[in-house]
Amino acid sequence: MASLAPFADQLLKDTQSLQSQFADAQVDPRDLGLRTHEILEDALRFELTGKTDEGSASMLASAAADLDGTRMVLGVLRPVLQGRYADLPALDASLNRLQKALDAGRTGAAWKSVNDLSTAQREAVNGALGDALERLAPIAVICDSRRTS
Amino acid sequence: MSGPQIPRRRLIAGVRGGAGLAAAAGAAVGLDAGFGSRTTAPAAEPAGLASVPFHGVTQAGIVTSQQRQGAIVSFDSTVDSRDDLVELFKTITERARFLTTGGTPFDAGISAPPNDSGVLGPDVLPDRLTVTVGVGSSLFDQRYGLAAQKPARLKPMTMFPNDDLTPALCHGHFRPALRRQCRHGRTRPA
Repeated sequence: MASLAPFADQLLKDTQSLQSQFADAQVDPRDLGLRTHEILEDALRFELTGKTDEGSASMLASAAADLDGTRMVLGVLRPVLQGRYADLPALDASLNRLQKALDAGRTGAAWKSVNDLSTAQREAVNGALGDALERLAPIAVICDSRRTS
Repeated sequence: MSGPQIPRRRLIAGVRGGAGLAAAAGAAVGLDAGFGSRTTAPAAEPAGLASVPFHGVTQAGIVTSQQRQGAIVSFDSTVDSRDDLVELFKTITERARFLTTGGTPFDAGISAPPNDSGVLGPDVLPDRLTVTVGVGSSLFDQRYGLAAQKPARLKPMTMFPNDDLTPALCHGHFRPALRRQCRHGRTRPA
């Protein structure tokens, strides 16, 4: 166990440095449209399938963080999407539903392992995530640059 | 009748075995292979253009003569409100009406998955498909305000002797379950 301590220390240090540097991160604005659905797509493919869990039981927390990230990107794009994407209110409702489904596995700062969710809770998460992704999908195309001539 | 004679009891057992498998959508059960009970070669069947009327006094597939293939799946409902449940049934109705009538799939645009699944092809033939939808007793709970409308004799399906079922995977005891039965009379290419 003691041999793992240096790695944990390094991870903590790296995470803190990422947190402090994140505000200065440069992202190509043309990328944002595509990333909007890709973040939660990863939640579907890697997190909620347990592929990247490695016994950490952190997948619901990761999926919730993915949802936070999605909302952040969506916030930046919202002025572009207003008037161009009629289903925006339905998307917001869908993301709220996903939040509620994920929060069902949370007690304060502690998250349940996906395996410990009841069948009904798991179905609620999967259903809400599928719905959210379906509604996020058109954004990449809406935000894609296109010729006007 | 040209199709296999499936004992009704065994068909019902198949329904129960499939119950609760929320992810089993589209898992086709080839009754020919699954039951191995066909003893006669199928007679010539109508071309794929033949259809069973979607609208009628009852749903199609209830008194329709037995078809050669079928798939039975069940789902748990995850919708939150009665309005969403209504929307869900409208979506199922729309899809079932299209699949049983045939035609060219609606193009939902470049950001949506293609409506041509690649299995049915660009032109969907009705092919005497019927889709029969039933609901489990657990749908009639407080969640959708349907408790008062529950048919008096509707109850979870009975376990038969010698069944070896995992209760958690069976008919939503605690959850609504929608059962969708397809009896899919797919003709052979001429």
